[in-house]
Amino acid sequence: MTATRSRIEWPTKALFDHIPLDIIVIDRDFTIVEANKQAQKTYPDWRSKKCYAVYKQRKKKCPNCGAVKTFKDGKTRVEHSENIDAQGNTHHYMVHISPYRDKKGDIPYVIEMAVDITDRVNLEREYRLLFDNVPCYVSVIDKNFKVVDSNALFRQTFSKRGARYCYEMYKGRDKVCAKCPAVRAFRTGERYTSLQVGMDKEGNKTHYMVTAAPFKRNGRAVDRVIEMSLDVSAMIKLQEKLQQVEKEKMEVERFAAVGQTVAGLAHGVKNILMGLEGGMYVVNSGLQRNDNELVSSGWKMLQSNIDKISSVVKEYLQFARGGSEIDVQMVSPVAIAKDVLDLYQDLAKQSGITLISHLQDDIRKAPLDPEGIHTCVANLMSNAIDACVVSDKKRKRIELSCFEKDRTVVYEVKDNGTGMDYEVKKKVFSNFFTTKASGQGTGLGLLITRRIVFEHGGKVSFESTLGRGTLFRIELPRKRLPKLKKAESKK
Amino acid sequence: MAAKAGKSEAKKTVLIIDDEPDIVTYLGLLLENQGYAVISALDGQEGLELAKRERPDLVCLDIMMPRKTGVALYGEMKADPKLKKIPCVIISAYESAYSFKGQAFRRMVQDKSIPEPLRFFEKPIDIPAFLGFVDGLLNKAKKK
Repeated sequence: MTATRSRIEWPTKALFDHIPLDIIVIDRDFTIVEANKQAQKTYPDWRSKKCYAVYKQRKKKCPNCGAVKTFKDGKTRVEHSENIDAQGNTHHYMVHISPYRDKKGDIPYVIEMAVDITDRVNLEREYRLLFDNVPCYVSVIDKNFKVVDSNALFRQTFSKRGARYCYEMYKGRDKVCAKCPAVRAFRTGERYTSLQVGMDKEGNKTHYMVTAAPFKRNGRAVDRVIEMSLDVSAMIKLQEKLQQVEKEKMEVERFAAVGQTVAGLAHGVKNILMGLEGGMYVVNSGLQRNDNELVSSGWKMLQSNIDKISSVVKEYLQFARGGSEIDVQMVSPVAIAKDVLDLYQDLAKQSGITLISHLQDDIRKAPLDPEGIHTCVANLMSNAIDACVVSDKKRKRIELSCFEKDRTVVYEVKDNGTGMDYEVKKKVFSNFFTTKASGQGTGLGLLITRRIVFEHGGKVSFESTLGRGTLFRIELPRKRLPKLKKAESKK
Repeated sequence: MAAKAGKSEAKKTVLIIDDEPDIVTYLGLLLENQGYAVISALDGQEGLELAKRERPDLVCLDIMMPRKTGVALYGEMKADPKLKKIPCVIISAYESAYSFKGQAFRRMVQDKSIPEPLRFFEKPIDIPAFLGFVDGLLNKAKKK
């Protein structure tokens, strides 16, 4: 027997060379005496060399060598082997080690058949890397909800002493959770996602979005579910914070309105005060001159200013009512607009104004204070009519619109009346500011409108051009609308 | 109340423009008692026409008025060569938070070359100060 000449006969030789495995034969000195073509591809320089030198680049035989064991016990074994080629590259093999017995039953050779599993090993490592480093909690559970595998992040966050089942780890419970997405994934073979509240190992509340993906290892029944959970606690906190900020913002807006009201009140009182002073002065002058007409004219001034005080106080009280509860009901926003339209139909006609409406009929009902919103729209309407009346345009027109856009209920009142110049625009929402001739308004209308709209979480805005007209807009985003009281919401 | 007082040659004329009839009556009587002739208008437009027609010696102007605001009227008067020499004072209830004085007033007048009004009086006005100012301005005209 020489190492340089093949001892295998054709067609065994052909089979030997073409089989898609690396096959080598080594003798008791670990010298390679035979290698098929497949094996020669990666390790061309093998002839008469030691297997540990060719496959591991070692000088001595490997510890724990499978061939040594097979030479000794004559048993076939399968091992994973990590080899290094002449260029220093690592290859992974699944090696099947079998004894070759001669006629006497001795084992002069061992045959090693190796499958290259480098790609598979790399893929496995890649998946493991992904599994361990993906920024979410990953756990694999079996049909009994026992966690059979999990990633580092999951263990860091949820591993609790003695806990083995997913409900123990995620929530510290002793049985399966209600609405468990894994239960459904096992049953139907579909993927499910749900928002859950768990408890980490420090006992903190943890919100997570869990996706349960079914896994069939044998291709038939779902026997594993992979649970992937994303921690959304920060997001939930942010959302709560945002809601809080929104609420605070509305409070601030309301206070600002009240502040302006107080400033405005001072202004209103000043005018009245001057009227009263004037009345007294006129009465005095009349008395001094013995002029009865002058006395009575002064008296009238006093009376009218006292009347003004009482009407201002009434309206002011109505305004200051702010913060008291509004009567929220599920109502159709368009129905309110229609009511206002009916209310002003006659007045508009008498004033020579054409009233046009654009009402989007399919708006869903919304939780509103119907009386309050009616007051708001009516105030805008009344202002529009006044703006048209004092205008010298031939064709006077008011358009009332009610529609929904981006989940926001919108009312618009557009007139082609006088419009506003800069100074008036600046003062639009200040209390007691009125451009109307005296006796026609206290100037509280828009403030009341704004207060009511604020209480609905909405806003009032306007666009105006002097001489062209004005557009007032009430916007009520649905998500900021007030909540219905419980009894009401059950209806 | 309008320009009732017989307008003798010697009397100086004051134009009061305010949409509050009470204010017009009050200031009108006050100035008449002080020996001035008084004419008045209840809105800016009427006031401008009256100023053009009567050429008063002094204009007392409110800010917030229908048809034409005091600021607009002031701007137009100062832009009119025939009216621009007439002194103007502003009598308004707006102050503090909603100042119409100084720079704030300037901002509202489109033409930046227009001078500020002579003086601002805040409602309710300080009567002795107001009368003192008017008397000083209109050359110590007849005392009553």
